[in-house]
Amino acid sequence: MKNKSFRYIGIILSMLILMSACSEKETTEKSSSEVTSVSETDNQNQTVELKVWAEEYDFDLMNMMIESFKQEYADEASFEITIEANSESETKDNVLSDVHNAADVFLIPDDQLSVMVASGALEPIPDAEAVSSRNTPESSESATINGKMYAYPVTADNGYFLYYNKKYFSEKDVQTLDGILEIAKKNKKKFSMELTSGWYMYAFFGNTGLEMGLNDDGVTNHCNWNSTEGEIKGTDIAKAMLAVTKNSGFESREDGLFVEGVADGSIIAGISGVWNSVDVKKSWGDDYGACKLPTYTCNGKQIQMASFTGYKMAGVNYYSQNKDWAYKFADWISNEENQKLRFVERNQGPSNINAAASDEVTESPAIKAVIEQSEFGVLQRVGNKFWDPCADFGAVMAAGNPDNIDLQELMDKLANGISAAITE
Amino acid sequence: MKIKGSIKISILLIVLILGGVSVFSNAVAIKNIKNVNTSAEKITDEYMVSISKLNDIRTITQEIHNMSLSHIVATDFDTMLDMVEKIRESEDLLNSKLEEYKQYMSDSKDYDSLKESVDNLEYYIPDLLAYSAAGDNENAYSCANNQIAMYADEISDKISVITENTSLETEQARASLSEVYNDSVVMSRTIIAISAAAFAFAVVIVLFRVARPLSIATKGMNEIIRDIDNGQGDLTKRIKIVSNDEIAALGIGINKFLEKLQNILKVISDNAQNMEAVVSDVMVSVDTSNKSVEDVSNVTNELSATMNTMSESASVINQSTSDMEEKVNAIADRTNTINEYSKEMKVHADEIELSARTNMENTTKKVNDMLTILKKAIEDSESVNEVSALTNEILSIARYTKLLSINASIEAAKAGEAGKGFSVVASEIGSLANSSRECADKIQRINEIVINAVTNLSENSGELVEFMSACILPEFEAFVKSGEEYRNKATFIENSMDEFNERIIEFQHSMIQISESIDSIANSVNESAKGVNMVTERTNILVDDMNRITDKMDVNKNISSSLKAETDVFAKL
Repeated sequence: MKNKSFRYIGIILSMLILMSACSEKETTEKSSSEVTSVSETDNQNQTVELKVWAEEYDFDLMNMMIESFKQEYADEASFEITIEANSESETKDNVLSDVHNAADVFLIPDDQLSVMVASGALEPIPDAEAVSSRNTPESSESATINGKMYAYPVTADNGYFLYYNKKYFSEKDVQTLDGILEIAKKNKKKFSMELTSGWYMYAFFGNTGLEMGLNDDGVTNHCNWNSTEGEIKGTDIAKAMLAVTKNSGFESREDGLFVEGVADGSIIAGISGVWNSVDVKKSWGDDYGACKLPTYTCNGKQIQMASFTGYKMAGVNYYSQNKDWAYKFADWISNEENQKLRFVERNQGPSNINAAASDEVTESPAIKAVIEQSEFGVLQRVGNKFWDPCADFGAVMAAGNPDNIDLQELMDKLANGISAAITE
Repeated sequence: MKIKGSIKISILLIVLILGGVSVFSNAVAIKNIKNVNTSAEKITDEYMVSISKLNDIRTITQEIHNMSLSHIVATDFDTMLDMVEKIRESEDLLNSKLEEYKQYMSDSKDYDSLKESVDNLEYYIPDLLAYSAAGDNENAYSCANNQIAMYADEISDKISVITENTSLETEQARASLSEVYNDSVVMSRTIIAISAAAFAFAVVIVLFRVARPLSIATKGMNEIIRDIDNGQGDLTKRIKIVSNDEIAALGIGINKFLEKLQNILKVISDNAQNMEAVVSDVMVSVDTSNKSVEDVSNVTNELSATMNTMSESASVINQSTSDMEEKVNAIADRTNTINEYSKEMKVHADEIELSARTNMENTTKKVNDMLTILKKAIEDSESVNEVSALTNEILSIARYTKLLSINASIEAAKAGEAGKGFSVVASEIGSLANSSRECADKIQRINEIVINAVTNLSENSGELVEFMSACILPEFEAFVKSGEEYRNKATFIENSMDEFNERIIEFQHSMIQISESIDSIANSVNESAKGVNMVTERTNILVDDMNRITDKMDVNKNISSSLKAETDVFAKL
């Protein structure tokens, strides 16, 4: 009797359970589609393509660095790194005119940094602390905006100084510009500088007590080079410049043509930077001399010629297709080893603390001259509107003011042009 | 009527059926709710959300467009950089929103098209920023107003189309939701009917198999209890069993219990009576004990009093003993002093005797010496007599010499000149003889004097010595004898005192012993007194215990009475 009952109970129970279970199954299953994100950007053993911009005279140097970089990372990827010629002073324009096709890695002087950052072409570098600590504080500072580092310092010698041929000049001779011009004139040779570039032209204005600089907005300039007050007025400088340019020993020449003149012997002194030191040394040999800029005569006084100082740094294009590798490459070409190499090959002063402390660097005449001159120089911080007015003014000065334009008028035009708003 | 079968099984069956029906109906209900929920979710989570996301995408695109224009008009570096950062953030947000939206797209073609437009927009933004930063506003504005604007519009249009399609799909989902709802209602109604039937069946089973047998058993129990309450308890009565299941088993159990209870109560009743008897006996014994204890108590009190008296006496004796001890000590001290004094006396006596003796001896010796010397002196003095003889001789010599000299002179004269010298010599010798003769005379005279003196001296000395020997020495002897006697007496006293001292010391010891004994007697008395006190205490405790036993016995008596009363409830045991 009991067994039968148990059997009945068992049957009913299992039926009920089955019916419940069936009704559960019918609930729809929500399909959760998983989005599998492919996040691999740099696969191992992929071919990484990078484009690099450099000055033509730095091609050999850059190729050496590329080779060493390839070796360093040979087991992680294979590389196809191409170099294109690019003038460092034009990097900003070249990048910003076509960001998508610009190089992945390029070199810029420090004055171009802020515009590059404002355009979004540069972003804060990934390993800022390490990079900052291995370079001199000033060079790291020049690559930093609002506390963030945007590029890798490479050189700390972006200034200019006086090159002179010791065959014609003694150390005393090169103290004054008048002295230099006289000797050049006497020997029917030339002293050259790129007067039509605001960068070099600044030399005549920097130590006169007149002011020119970047405003707080970071894009416009203030400028009183046309001042009619004070010990030295704007017109005094114009007069001084004309006195120089009218001397037959003077020639205004583009920096690129300076070494040509040195090579053919027509130029026995000139203003340029360390980038030409190797070529100049090759031409003048033991007569190769370098020192700070001379003084020039202005309103009867000897005024020390000023200069712009600066640093060069390697930047990585934000829009690079291989940004990670681009950063690694930029880091590579700016490291201690390659900065040393840069000095050895191209005589460019390193920003790396260890490299700069070496004997060869501290004893290089060009580097010494840069350091000496840097005392009278300032960091180049000018807005975009600085260059064109200077170029125009410089051209008139170089030509000797053939139309006899009123000097004050010229100075006004220059000053107003420099301090114009960016929308003009 | 006896019904066969197990209640457990029946109830289990009922519970299973009801439970199963409940589970089944709830499961079906859940299924229906899930269906409804799925449809609703689809509407809210998919369609609504996707529309919302599309709007977000449109909004962000607009923002990016506006920010890029802001970058162009910015006049300072910080604003430009700020815009760049914001545009980057917005681009990231845009891309993530687009990615999120992908799952809502049924048609991937639409999504790809939208993505393409977004990519295009994002392609031209960097150009705009570059132109703007470089100051090339012309190109910057151109870019903004052409490519950027174009793609922004494109994105907006595509979003509108997609939104419209999504709305259509929402409507369809709503319709299917209603259908599902209706189906659910029908299903639920069917389940309710089935549940009602199962419930009715359960009620019938419970009534017949559970309720009826239970009520019969309960009635029987109540009867028995009622009888007990009325004092007519009948433990021979039993409960009626009408079935053959768990309830029947319960009834049988109760009947067995009643049987056992019957037996136990019988035992209790008998024992209650026994206990009563025992209690009475104990009470009698307790009374006797109480009386004995009283006697003991009285005795110990007396004993205690005696102890006290003895203690006092001992104290008194102790005090007397102490006084005596003090006096004895005083005597001992005094004795000591006398003893010391007698010793001194003896010493002194010894000294006196010794001194007297010594003096006597010395004196005797001296006297003897003196005598000896005197005798010798006398003997020697007799030699003076010889002096006379000698002087006589000298005189004779002198005479002879004179003769000689005379002779010599005669001869010298005879010799004449040669004898001058010799005559001188002879005269000299004659002188010499004269001198000698004079001298010898003198000597003789003196010698006589001396002899007289010596004789005198000798006589007087003899008298002195006699006197010393006859008078002084005996005195000394007597003195010595006195000293001796004195010394003997002192010795005697000393010895006596020594003896006396010893006795006193012995006496002292005895006193100490007596004192100690008295102390120990006093201690013993105290101890005894303590003991007696303890006995008294114990006796008191014993009395208390006796009283307690008495109380307890009373309680027991009450217990047995109440037990008896309880069992009286049962008329039949």
